[in-house]
Amino acid sequence: MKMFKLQISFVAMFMALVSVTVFANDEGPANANNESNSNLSSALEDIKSQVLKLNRELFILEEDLLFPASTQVAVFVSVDVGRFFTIDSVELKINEKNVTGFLYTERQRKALEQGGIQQVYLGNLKVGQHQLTAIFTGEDAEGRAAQRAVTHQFEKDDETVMIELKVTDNTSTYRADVQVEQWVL
Amino acid sequence: MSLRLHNLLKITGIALLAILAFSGRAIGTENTHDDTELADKFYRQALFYYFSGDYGKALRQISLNRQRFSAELNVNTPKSQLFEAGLLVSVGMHKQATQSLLALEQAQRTQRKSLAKQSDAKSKKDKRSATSPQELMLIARLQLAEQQVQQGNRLGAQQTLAKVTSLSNGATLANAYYEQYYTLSQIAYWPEQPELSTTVLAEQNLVTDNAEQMPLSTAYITLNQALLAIENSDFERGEAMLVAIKNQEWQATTQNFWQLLFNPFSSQYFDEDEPTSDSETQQQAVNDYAQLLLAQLYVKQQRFESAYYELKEFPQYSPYTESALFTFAYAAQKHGQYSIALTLLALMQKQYPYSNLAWQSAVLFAGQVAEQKSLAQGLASYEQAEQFYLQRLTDLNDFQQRFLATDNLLDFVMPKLTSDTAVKENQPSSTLELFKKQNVFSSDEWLQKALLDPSLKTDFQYLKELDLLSVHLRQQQQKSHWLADTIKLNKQRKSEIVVAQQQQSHQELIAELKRQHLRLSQVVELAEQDYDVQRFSSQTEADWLKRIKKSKQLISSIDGQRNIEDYQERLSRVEGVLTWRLSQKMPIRLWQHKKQLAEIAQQLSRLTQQQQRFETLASAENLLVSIEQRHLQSNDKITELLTKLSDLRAVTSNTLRQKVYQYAMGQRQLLQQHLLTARHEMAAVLEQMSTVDKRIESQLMPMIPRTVPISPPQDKGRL
Repeated sequence: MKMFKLQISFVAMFMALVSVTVFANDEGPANANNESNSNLSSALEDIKSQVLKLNRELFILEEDLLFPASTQVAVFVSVDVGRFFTIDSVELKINEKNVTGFLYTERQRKALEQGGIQQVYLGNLKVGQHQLTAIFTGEDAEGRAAQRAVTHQFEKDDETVMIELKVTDNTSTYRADVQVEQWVL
Repeated sequence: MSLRLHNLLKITGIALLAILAFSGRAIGTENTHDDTELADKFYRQALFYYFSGDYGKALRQISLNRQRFSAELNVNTPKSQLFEAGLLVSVGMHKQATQSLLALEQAQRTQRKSLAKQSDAKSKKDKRSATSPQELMLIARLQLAEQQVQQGNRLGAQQTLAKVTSLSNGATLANAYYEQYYTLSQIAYWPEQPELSTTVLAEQNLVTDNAEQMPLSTAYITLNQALLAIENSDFERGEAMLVAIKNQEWQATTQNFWQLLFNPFSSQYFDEDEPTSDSETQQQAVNDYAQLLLAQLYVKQQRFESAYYELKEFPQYSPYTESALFTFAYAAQKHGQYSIALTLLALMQKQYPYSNLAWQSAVLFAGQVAEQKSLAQGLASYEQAEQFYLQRLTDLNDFQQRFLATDNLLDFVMPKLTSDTAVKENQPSSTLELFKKQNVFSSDEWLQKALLDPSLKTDFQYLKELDLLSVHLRQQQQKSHWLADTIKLNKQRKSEIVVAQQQQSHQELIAELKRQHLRLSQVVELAEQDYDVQRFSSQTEADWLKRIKKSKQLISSIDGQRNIEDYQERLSRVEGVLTWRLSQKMPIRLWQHKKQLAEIAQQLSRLTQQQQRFETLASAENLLVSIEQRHLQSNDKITELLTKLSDLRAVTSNTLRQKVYQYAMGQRQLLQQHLLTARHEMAAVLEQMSTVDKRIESQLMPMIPRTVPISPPQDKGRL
């Protein structure tokens, strides 16, 4: 916003100095070679697009190789509102073993509060029954250190297991709860 | 027998567990969702990356969603398409964004009703940014035009804005976007009148509105209108507008989510350290600019006194200080405030030595000195001005040589980008930096001045982006090598497992386990039929039964030697109790065994399936081969892209060199003109001095005695 406005101001200033004053202006050369810029821009866009595509292909390749659907398990975190609990970190255990932890920056926390869903863990599990434990640490509405935990039993089959941990404000108790939701395609 | 049964069950269980280590299959999950909700969740993953500032990952997520789930879900919603278009605009991929928008527009035409329904979905996110698809399209186009304006692509901006106009057909543009649309049109079409197809707000209303605070965007419209009025020599109207603007308080315009999404310079999410007084700065800048423009208008009308008083209170720290300072000095000079004018003109040269205005100041300064002080002082000032220009010309030559000789032109605008530094900068995401809008600054005064040309600046941005893309590609190449190693290891692992499998022959083991299971089932069945309670005895009970049997044999052996009746009676009593106890426990033990047998049967069935799947996987070479092929393709692509990038970098560098060369030529020409002017003025001063000298000489001549020599003796011969 700022840059846009200032840029407009600059453009306006450029016009003013060209048209109004009796002095030479103090701007750079106005020899915009639009055609060459357009070609360059087009080539750059093309490469960017290919790089993005390549990035995606390699990402999929990596997932297919390291986390095939038959063993893949993914855990996501989302925050609904976030008034009663300010999330600082999350710790995940699968079958009593620590598998990952995540410390949130202010921006990442805001990203969650603004509706984003974060994939916090991607791993492999063999078929069968498993237990997921998630421990969230943060602050409650009064700024006191607080923890919320949840345990979830799930069964791994040939398909990818996707589990969402939702930190949700409970308006009746004035505290946040962690709900578990398993996504099914 | 009973013990054997137990042991067999145990062994079977252990064997099953060992073989289950391959993999397995499971049943279902407890939660289900409708497709829209699930599609929204995938979309929100991209949203997380976007809000975290990682455009690259957000874009990747959107296309991943489309690639992976479009068969099962409608992930290609208008919202997600538009989000993608917004991200594309943000990362500067205008062509692709335009294509996405066109496709979306077409889809909208055909499915207007269903899209409208979808956009009305009651998700929380939608409530936050409840916007109709038409409005979203409008935002997208406006922001695209804005970027095109910033890149100096006014033709592109005109074309984009023309589409906005056609979009508004049948519906009125929201006031919230009208001002942005108007301002952009003004700039895109400048100095022509913008082609607005919608109802135009009355120009007068914009200025004479008595509201205490007006949106800041209105100020830009009015400023440009004032400029246009001045251009058309309608000074009165221009003055009225500028007076209104400089005294007006402006209110920063708030932007919604979609406007921010399409705006790469948006500070709401990404510049946490940005001071909150941003809107105040903008407001001040608008007022300052109006003030400056007003003063320049007065100068043009030769109302120097008004210009002088207009700029007397101009703030020291403003984006327009340089122009204001010069205009103020010029007005002061013309208004007769000579000492102030001299001080300011000297300050201009000192403070902005590379500015065209400072170059003009040098001549103005010397002219004033020559006029007001003495011709000798004036001459000295002109000589200083000449030195000033010559020095600038030397600097310029030096800059030009250095610039044209440099291999990596980015050395002029930023520290050299190495893979390591890029990786550090890009933490936590390796793609984040790729898509951040690159601002270009240079510590070199000449280049910084050249960068005022948007086209040159854009080329430098391209160069930076190309380097970042190279760094990113090299990272991808490293990843690709790592993947190659992983594929190799996997292949090796797989062949080892297959060999081990062939040696162990799990198939036979499973068949043996099945036979054992069958035998056990038969035993249990027979025991049940015969009501053979002893079959299910525990270890202790089996020991007891053995002892009883042994005792019976012992009693038989002493039969006839002793009275064994008592022994037999006691033994049968014990046997009776044991049989009674075993018969009591028989039903539950029978049930337990049957249950265990059923479980084993189930596990054996799973195991068979696993074994079959294993056989399929072991015999199928396709999976790894396909991955390997994909990897090879990616690797080739990386190499190809790196070559393309290198070529494009060379082309961009050459373009930049040409542009900077032309810029230097222009600056040199300008400096030479100033130099020429200064020298002409010097000649004029010298001429005046000579005239004055002659006049003095002629005045003094009659008073000089004829006998006195008029020059020193040593010069006599030469004269």
